[in-house]
Amino acid sequence: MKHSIRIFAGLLAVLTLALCLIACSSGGKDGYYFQTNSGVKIVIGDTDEVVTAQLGTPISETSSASCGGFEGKDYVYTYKGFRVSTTPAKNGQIVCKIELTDDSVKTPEGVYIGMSRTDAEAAMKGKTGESVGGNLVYTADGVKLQIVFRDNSVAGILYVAQ
Amino acid sequence: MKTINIKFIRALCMILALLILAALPAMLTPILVPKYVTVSKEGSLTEEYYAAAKEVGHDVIFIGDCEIYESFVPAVLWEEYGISSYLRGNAQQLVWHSYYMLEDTLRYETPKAVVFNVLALMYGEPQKEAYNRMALDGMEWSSVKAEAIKASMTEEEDFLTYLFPFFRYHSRWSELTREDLTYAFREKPTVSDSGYLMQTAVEPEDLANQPTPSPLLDPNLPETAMGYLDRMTALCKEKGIELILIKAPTNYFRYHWYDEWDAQIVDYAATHGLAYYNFMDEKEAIGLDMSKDTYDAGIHLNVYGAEKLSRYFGAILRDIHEIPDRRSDDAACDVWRSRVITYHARKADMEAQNQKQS
Repeated sequence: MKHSIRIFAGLLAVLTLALCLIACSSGGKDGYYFQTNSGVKIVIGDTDEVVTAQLGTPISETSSASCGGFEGKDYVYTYKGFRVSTTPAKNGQIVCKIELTDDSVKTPEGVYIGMSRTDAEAAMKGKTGESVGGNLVYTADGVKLQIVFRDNSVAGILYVAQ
Repeated sequence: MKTINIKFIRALCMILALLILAALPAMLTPILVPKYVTVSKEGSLTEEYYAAAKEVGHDVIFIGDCEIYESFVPAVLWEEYGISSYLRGNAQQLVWHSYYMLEDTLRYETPKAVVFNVLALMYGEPQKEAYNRMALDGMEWSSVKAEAIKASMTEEEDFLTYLFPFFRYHSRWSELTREDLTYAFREKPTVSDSGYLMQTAVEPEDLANQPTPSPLLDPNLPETAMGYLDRMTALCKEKGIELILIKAPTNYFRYHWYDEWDAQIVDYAATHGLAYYNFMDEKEAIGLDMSKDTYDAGIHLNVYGAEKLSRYFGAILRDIHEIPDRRSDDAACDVWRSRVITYHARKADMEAQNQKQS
C-alpha cells in the first residue's frame, strides 16, 4: 500500500512539474493572437523574426524613428489583409501591433472586417470584453483585441499590447 | 593608553569606511546618469530652462510634446515680432508632464500667454519610463517635481530612483561613453535654442506610401488627460494667463490626430473661452512645403518649416493676443541678441555638417 502511495505521489509530482513547465513555456502566449491564412501565428511581443522569416516579403514597409532619439526604428510591414508594426525593445525588435485591413483574413474566433456587429458579438461569445466608445475590447495575457464598429459592422480589428 | 589608541583608530577607520561607502553612490551618480548631449538631446531640454529664466522674462511659454520643440523658433519670434518666448517641451511630454511643467514655470515667471499643443491628450496613461526620465530628471527639485513624478510614473517605476538616480543608473557603468566622463563634473553645452531643438535635414513626406491611420477606438479623449487640461485651464485663469490651444500642422499616421478628437477640443475651447488653432489645415497659408519642410517624412517640421510656422503664428500672437514687442527694452535686447546669434551660428554649423555628409 505504502509503495503504491509513493508511486502515486511521485507521478503527481512529475505531472505537476510538467504542467508548470508547460505553463511557463507558454507564458505570454495565452492571449489573443492572429493567424495568417497560411498558418503563421503572430503574437504581440514576439520578436520580428516571425515577420522577416515566416511572412515573406511585405507589399510595403515603412520605418520611422521614435521621438527622443532612441536607438532603432519602428517598422510597419503591410501584407495582403493585414499589417504588422514592430518596435525596438530590450529583447530585440518586437511585434507591438497587428491590424487586419480587409476581409481576406479573420481572427481565430472568426471575426473579419465587414462582418455585422451581431455576428461579431456572436463569434466572441463566452469571451469577456468591455465596451469602449461603442466598440469592443477583449484583454487576455497582456494583449488587447480591439474590434471597432462603424454603422453596425466591423471596421477595424487590432491587436495591441495592454 | 595604547589600547585606547588602537581602539580609537579602529573605530575611526570603521567610520571612515562607512562614510566612503555611503558617499560612493553620490560621487558616482554624476558619472552614471545619461548626459543627453549628443544622443537623445531631448533629455537636456527641461534643465536648460532655468538658466534662461534667470536671464530674461518670457511673455509666451509653449508647452507640450515634440510638436512644440520642433515647430516653433523663439529666435524667429524675437527677430520678427520682438516676442520673448521659451519652449518647455519634451519627447512624448504627456499632459500631466505639461501641467507640472507649467506649475514649475510659474515658480520663476508668469507669462502673458501659455501655448499648449493638444496632440498628447490622446494618452490617458503613463507610457514609457524613458520619456518620464527625459522630461523629469532635469527638473529642479521642489514639491512640483515630486508631484510630477508621482503623476507620471509607470507601474514599474519607483519614486526613490528619482530621488537617488544612482539606483536607477548604476547598471550603466558598462555603457559609459566619453561624453559621460567629459560632462560628469563639467557644465554641458546647451543643445537647444530657448527650448527649440534644431533639425536641418530634409526627408520629404511621402503620403502615397503612408499607411492609413487605424480606425479610432474611442472618439472621446481620455478623462485623465482632459482632467489635466481642466487643471491647466484653471491655473492659467487663476494667474491671469491666456491659455492658447494649438495643434501643430503635421499629422503622421502613427500619431494621428482624429477629427473626432479635434471636434472635442473645438467644443472645449468654445466652452472655456480659449483660442484654438489647428494648423493642420493651414499648411498653404503658412507656406509649408512638406517635400522640403520636414526632416522625417512628415512626422515633424525641420528648421525651415518651423521658421515659417513661427512667422505665421507670431503675427497671430501679436495681432490677436496682443503679445508686446520688447525690442525697446535694452536688457531684453541684450539677452535676445546673444540668443539669436547662437541660433544662427548653430543653424549654419548644422547645415555645413549636412552638406559635408551629402
